[in-house]
Parts: sequence; structure tokens; C-alpha cells
Amino acid sequence: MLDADGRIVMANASAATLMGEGTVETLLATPMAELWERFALYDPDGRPLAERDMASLRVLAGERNPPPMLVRRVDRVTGDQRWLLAKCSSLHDDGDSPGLAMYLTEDVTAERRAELGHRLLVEAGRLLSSPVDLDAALQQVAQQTIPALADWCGIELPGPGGYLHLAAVAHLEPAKVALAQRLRALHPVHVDDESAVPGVLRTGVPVRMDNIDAEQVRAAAVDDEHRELLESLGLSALLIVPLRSGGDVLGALTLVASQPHRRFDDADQDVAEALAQRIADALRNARLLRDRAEIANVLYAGLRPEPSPVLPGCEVAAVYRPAGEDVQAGGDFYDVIDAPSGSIVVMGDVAGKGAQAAALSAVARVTLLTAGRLTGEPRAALDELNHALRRRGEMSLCAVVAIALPTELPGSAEVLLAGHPPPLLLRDGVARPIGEAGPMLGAVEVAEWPPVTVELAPNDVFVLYTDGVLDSVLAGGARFGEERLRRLAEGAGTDVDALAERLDRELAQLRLRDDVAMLAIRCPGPPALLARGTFDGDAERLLALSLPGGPEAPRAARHALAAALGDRLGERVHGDALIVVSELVTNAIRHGGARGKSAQVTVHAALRDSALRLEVTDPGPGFEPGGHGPRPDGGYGLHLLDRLATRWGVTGGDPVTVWVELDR
Amino acid sequence: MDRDELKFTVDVDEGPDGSVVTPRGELDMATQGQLRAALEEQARRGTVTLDLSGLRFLDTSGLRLILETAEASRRDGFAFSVLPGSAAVQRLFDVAGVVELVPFRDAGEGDRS
Repeated sequence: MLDADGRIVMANASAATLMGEGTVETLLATPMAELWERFALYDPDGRPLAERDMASLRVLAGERNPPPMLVRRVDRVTGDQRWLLAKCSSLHDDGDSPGLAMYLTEDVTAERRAELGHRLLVEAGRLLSSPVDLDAALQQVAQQTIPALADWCGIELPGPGGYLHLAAVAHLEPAKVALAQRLRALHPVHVDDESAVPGVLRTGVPVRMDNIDAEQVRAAAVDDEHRELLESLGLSALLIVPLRSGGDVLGALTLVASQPHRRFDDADQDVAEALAQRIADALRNARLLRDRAEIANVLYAGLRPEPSPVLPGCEVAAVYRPAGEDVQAGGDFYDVIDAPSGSIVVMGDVAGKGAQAAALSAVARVTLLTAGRLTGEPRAALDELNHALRRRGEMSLCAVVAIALPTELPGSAEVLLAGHPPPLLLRDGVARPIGEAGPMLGAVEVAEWPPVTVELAPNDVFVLYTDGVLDSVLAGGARFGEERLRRLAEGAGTDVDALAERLDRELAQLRLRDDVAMLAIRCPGPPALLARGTFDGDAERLLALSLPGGPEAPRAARHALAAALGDRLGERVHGDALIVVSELVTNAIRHGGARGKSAQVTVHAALRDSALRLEVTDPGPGFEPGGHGPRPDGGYGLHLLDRLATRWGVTGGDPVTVWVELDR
Repeated sequence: MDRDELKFTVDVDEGPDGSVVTPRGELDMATQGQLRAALEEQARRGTVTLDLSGLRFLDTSGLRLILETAEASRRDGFAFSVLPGSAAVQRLFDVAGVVELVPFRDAGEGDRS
């Protein structure tokens, strides 16, 4: 009971105990100011309460029946925390001014804490059950713990380099959150550090610290600024709980009390550990899902054909669109197989779609690649795959087209078809199908695929495609068909990139019924060489020299070139040209076929507006089998050539010509 | 063609502090053998300086010889230093990326090790 001045005039024994006084007498004797100082009061949202907020005074000030107030009260001396439900009503005198106020307080601590704990765990469970954005969910969970469980909440996970990353941090005041992030940024914590959180990560045992005083903070601080930051965050009690799931410690949940004398007790720790369990399980699930997705991606990416296949000497453009949503690879494939005599280009179509088809296409590719590389013969590759498919338990079918291409023109190509649409040969603006049909691979035990030979002309273009292209459905329902593809190819002419681009653009708008793959290959003619007399007409020929082999040849070549160049080039390019010709001729003698005086080395030089062209031709590899072209001369020759030359290359096998261009 | 330009010579000066070997002319596949012989012989005296200032041309044949000699000096324990040649000659070391491997020093300077 309080009088008009707010003094306690009457109280029961429980009230005395609640106020921390031994007896009613001492309670009545204690000045209000002292009582106020004893306790820190906070509303349910965690904000500190002042005297005037108290119901008792409001009543005395004239408010009739203020609603009951839920107050969290912390005893500054003992740190004891209670939740009190305070009801106040006025006892009036006759007249309107209140005489006495009756103050009823109910200790609802146990109920309140149980309720808060329960609510927290339910909410966290909901947030973490199947989060779309795990990081956002973690942040929300951290937020939920404030202020009921703590003043600060942090979720820390080991990150790159072993440094701890603050996955979530919450406090009532956003400014303080920024402070905490700044503290972490300036003083990163490493999993190997000796401090509290890394310790919990290592041991998996929770840590609880009460009554952290200024001395401990000073001791923990690295420097003055650090200490100031720590002090402004306010640390009076600390509870760190490991995030543990499936036997691993995945991180830590850190709870901090910054209000003075607030501390964590066993009930708090139970709630914190239950919460930590939910967080850890959610983290583990998210990680498992992510790992699985990554594995799938890697596998798929590995199965996808090379987007920019390389065919020596040729220009190649590709289109690849597997059917199905969000798929990287399907049953269509293509490959370039390096063989001693040239290259074999294969394109295939495994029956079926999706992941299974992709897996079978991988088998097909490996089989074709190996057989092709070892034998250099397209027929042998088809035969091998046919056998491999026949040996499989279930009916496995694969349509394949194989084209063997020569290293250099002039030459001929060989086309074999195994149940695959015939490739188009585009020559002089007209496209026609090439090849004779043979059975699909895996269909019959013994099969023949009659080869068709084509004499190639410069700028011939091959267009390989799977029937997915033909079967795609145009707006209006019609089939894409052979005619449309032919017209597209003829329209693009020798520009294979343009053809691929146009087809890709058209297909992007269509409904694909099946995987789609297309390769366009243009064989340019043999390279223009001074040595062959096929070099451009607008170059000024300077030198065409034939030298006997032997150690004197490099010098002879240098002097002849120097004389032919005169003053035409700047000093540096002139010097480089002499080095280059010396190196090339030296190589021809050392590694090429011009060791002895009986052999010949020819040196050609021509000048264009922009560059000097040098060519050195020698009869080809000496006694070293299987190689041609310049080889490292002590390890520096090739490197040097690459650094000095603006462009350079090697052609042919017999004779070998190395050409170098130096821009002026 | 000037007859002098065709001649390649190797001058050797056997001084009290070591030998100075000075090739003159164009060092390439044909002439490197002559220089190699001179360097091997002078190495036995313990201190060799190779002076490149007389070279009118250098390619990787000569470069290889110089690098091998530097390697041999480390292995066999004789002192070896190189006096740089003209800008054109030095360019080769730069482009080949081997400047660090050659014990260059300036004429009149002590050994830079």
C-alpha cells in the first residue's frame, strides 16, 4: 500500500521478501530511493523502466485503473532476475484525489520464462524447417532470442581460412549491431585462437561466464581501441553453446547479457542448447543439399561436349541444347578425335533423354575416342561401339556419324553413317546430304557402314546435326525439317559462326522435342606459303635462298637476309629478324633434315606493309621419328621464337616449313 | 661482303687476376665451339671473365654456351663473370628471360655476387 507521496505504508510479508527486505518493518523503514536503486526494471521488450512508468505512481497521479504491467526486474546486487505482474488500483478518499494505492505483485517468473523458452523454440523450429534463405532464417532466429533470452545473440560459423564468420548477429539497437560487426572485422577470430568461442568449437562443451568485470575485459583486449569497443558493447555475462549435429560441431551460438548483473542460469542454458540443436540440424541439412547439388552439377558439366571444339586448321562452330528443364547434358554428343592421319569428327545420338542418356553417351564417347585414336579408322570406332552396346544387358541404341578429315588440303574426307541423319556438304553455296545409310549402333551383331569419300576443296563446309534439329516444332506446329536447315546453311555460306548463331537463335524460340546438336566445320585451303608460291600477291619478295645444310648455314642465311632487307626495317625488328632466321636455320640443321651439306635448307622472306614474313623449309625430321617442327634448343629456342615473333606456325610434314611474321 | 665480317676470333688475356676472354664477330652454331674451347681452358686458371663487347651477333647457340659456363662455374668452383655487350646482344638475354642466370658485371666493377 502506498500513500499519496508514493511511500509504502503497509505491506505483507511476501512483499517484504520480494523487495529483498527481511521483514515488513525493515521494508517500511527503507526509503523508496534506496529500493529503487536496488532493482533495475525492464519492460517485456527489454527497455529500461523509470519510476514514473510504475503503475503505482500513475495511479497516484490520477489514472483510474492502469492495465497490469509485466516487468522484468533485476536485482543489481544479487543478479537475481524475476518477472513480475504488477496490478495497481487506487483506494480513494471521499472526493476524487486518491488517498492510497494498492499494489499487487505476482511473481510469474517461472511461467514467463517457460513461456518465452517454448515460444522461442517453436518459432525457431518454424523458421529453420525448410528455409529458402538459410542466412536470413538464422538472422531471424537470432533476433527472436532478444531480449527474452539475452541482450546479444550471435551465430558464428567457421569460414574461409579458418576465420570465424558472424552468420547472424542481433541486438535491440541496430547501432550496436554495427559495432559488433566492426569489432569482428577489426579483430577476426580464428578457430585456432585460445579465446572462448574457438574453445567451444574444439571441445564441443558449452561455456558460461558470469559477472564479467572490467578487469577481464581489459585483459581480453588487444589494444585501447579494442578495449573501448568491447566496453561499449557491454559484457556482463556470456553463454556459448556449440552447434552440434551428426557428431560434428558446425559452429557456435553466443548469447551475451550486457545489462548489469544480468546472468544466465541453468534454465537459460537448457533453452539455448535446445535452440542450438535446431540451428545445427538446419545447417547440416542445408549443407547436405548443397553438396548433392554440387556433385550433380560437376557430373553434368563433365558430360557436356566441348562448346568450342578445336580441329587443327579448320574453323568449327557448335550448337548444343539438351532437352529437358535446367539440364546441362543429354543424349546427344560430339567429339573431335585426334588420329595420326588427321582427325575424326563424330556426332552421336543416344536413344532416350536426361541423365540416363547422358550417362550412356559418356560410354559411347569414350569407346569411340579410344578406338578412333588407336586405329585412326572411323570404321573401327563404329565397330567397337557397336560391340560395346550389344554387350550391354538392356537394349542400347546409338546413332552416329563419323567423318575422317585430312590434316591438310588437298585431301579427301570419309563419311560413315550409322542410323544418323546424313551431314550436309556445303560447296559453292549449295548444300547436299552426304553419306550412305548403315544400321544404328547396338542394333545388329554384324554390321557394315559403307564409307563415302569426298575430295575436299578449299572452303568446303560440313554441317553435322542430330535429328533433334529436324524434329523441333515451329510456331504453327510444323516440323523444322531438312529443307529449312539446308536453306539456313546455304544462307550462311562459309561463315560457320554465323550458321551456328542463326540456328541457335531459331531453336531458342522453339519447342524442342529432343536434344539438339550441330557442328559446322569449314576446311580452309592449305596455308599460303612463300615456299609453295601461294603467298599473297601484294607482298614484296625479298629472298628465296637455298642453302646447303651444315653449321655455316645460319650465318649465310643471316647475311643474305641482312643484305636483302637493307634499311627497310627499324633497328630492333631488323635485329630480331636476323635472330629469328638464325634460330630457324639452326633448328633445321640440328633437328630437321639438313644436317649434312647434301641436304638443303630454303629461306624465303617477303615484306608486306605491316609485317616481315620469314619461312625456313627443311626436308623434315632427321632420324627422330614422330615429330616435326622446331624443338627446344636447350630449352630457350622455342620460347625465344614465341617472344620475338608476332605470329608463327609450322606446316606440313614433308617438307616442314616454319613461318614467322614480325610486325614492323 | 667484307672479309673481316666473316672472321670470328677469340682473344684471351691471361692476367694475374684471371683471364679475360673476348670473342669478336658473330657467335652462332658454327663459331660457338671455338669459344667453348677457350672458356674451358681458361676455367682451369680459376677466374674467367667473358667480355661480350666484341660480339656483332648472338643467338641461342651462344646463349646456351654462356649459361652452361655459368652453371659449370657454380659446380666446379671457378669464378665466372660476364661483361655485357651491345644493346642488340643484351636484348637476347632479356627476351629469353635469362638475365638473372648470367653473372653480369660492369667493366671496372668488382664481382657482383
